[in-house]
Amino acid sequence: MTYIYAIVFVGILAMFYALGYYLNHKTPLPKECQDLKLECEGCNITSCEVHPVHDIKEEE
Amino acid sequence: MQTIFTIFLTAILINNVILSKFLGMCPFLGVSRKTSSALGMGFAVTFVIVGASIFTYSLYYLVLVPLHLEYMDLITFILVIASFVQFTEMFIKKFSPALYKSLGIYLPLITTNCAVLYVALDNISSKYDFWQMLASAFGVPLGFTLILYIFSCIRERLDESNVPLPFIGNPIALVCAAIMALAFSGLAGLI
Amino acid sequence: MNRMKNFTAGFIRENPVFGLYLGICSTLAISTSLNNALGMGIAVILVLIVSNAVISLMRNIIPDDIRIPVYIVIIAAIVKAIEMLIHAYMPSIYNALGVFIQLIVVNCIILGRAEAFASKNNVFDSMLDGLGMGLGYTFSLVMISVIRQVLGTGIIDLTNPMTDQLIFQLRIIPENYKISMFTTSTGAFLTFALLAAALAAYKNSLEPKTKKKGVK
Repeated sequence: MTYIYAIVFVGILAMFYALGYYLNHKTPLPKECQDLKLECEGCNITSCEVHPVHDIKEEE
Repeated sequence: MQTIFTIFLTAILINNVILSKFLGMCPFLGVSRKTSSALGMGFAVTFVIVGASIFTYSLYYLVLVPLHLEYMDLITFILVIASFVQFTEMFIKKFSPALYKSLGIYLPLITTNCAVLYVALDNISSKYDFWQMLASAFGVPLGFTLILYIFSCIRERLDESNVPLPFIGNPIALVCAAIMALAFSGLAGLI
Repeated sequence: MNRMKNFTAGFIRENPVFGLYLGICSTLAISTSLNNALGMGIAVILVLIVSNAVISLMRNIIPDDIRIPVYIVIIAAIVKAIEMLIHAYMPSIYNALGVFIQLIVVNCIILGRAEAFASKNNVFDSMLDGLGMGLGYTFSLVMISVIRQVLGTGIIDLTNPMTDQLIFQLRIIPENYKISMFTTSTGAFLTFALLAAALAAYKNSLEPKTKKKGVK
């Protein structure tokens, strides 16, 4: 019975995250920060959002 | 019973999150090549760990424990940390572009940082009360920033010196980290 | 043949620990003894296989923008389940690994493989890749642990985690000659650096013709 609370709770948190992601996606970058580059050469964590390997995909 | 100052000092110097617990190493070898980026990363990590600790601690003791859902702590903490980072990035983009320039770009990198989840889980398992939790939440990222800053200074010099061929890049940096660990382990007698 | 190549990539060519420097957090903290290394290795292999399979099954449903948080939540559920299983059936490993079992969620290897491989290939290939990477990770972890345990404490032993029975115990270095630095964090960093340099030297020796600055 208590697992229903668990599912509802995770659902609420997921909606909260979706709201945050949506608002973040909608606010544009400030003007002076349009071409900031992160200096992370040698870092192989490709699952990070800001890794340069994703820029090639976005250009296509 | 640990006092707040003890927890704070231990988190910075003695049980340092990088040199003793080996957490937060994932971006440690990637972002620590320049001093400015190391400081930016350090500030961002401080902000995220403090905010995320407060929210996860409150959520655990106000929602999960009364409903007997302690096993949901992992998923809850991860969702809370991810949402916190998203909201923070949105606020910084809107209200302070200067702040975004210095620390905003590191925020998505910290979502999956081992150190943030470790602090959130450790506050629960060590059974801290609210002020001890705050001391730990401020101390751990300060220790992280300190080590990252020292390391970036050393790495800037290493990039210009004559390193043997197999050691170029990360292995020589790890040897330096070994020597730093040796130096900091001498501080264990402080407390 | 392609499958075999993908399977063996995790051992030397794309070793996740020494070559790509992923998942270092748990590697350095766990590798104090052979028991811990094998326990952690088995946990990571299980999580990798199951998470790769699940993510590969759902790869067409998950929208591309939010894929990383969705992967993290899936992996978190799997890790929590495996942590509870380990707590129930292998309590000695649970006490030794502590919070690091839950930190498998943010282990860069699992997310990295999910994003690089499982989201683009079918279920069987993804499971095989998970097994290969997991075995490579366990192999690296066991190498570090054996060196640290033999040099640091002089004995090497293995116990059955489910029944707490000693399987074997050997004393290799006499008690007075052990180098206890290797059980501390200094020894961990040093062993890791030397093994990573050894792998870089091996990779460099495979390419003798081109004049390069070195492997970064």
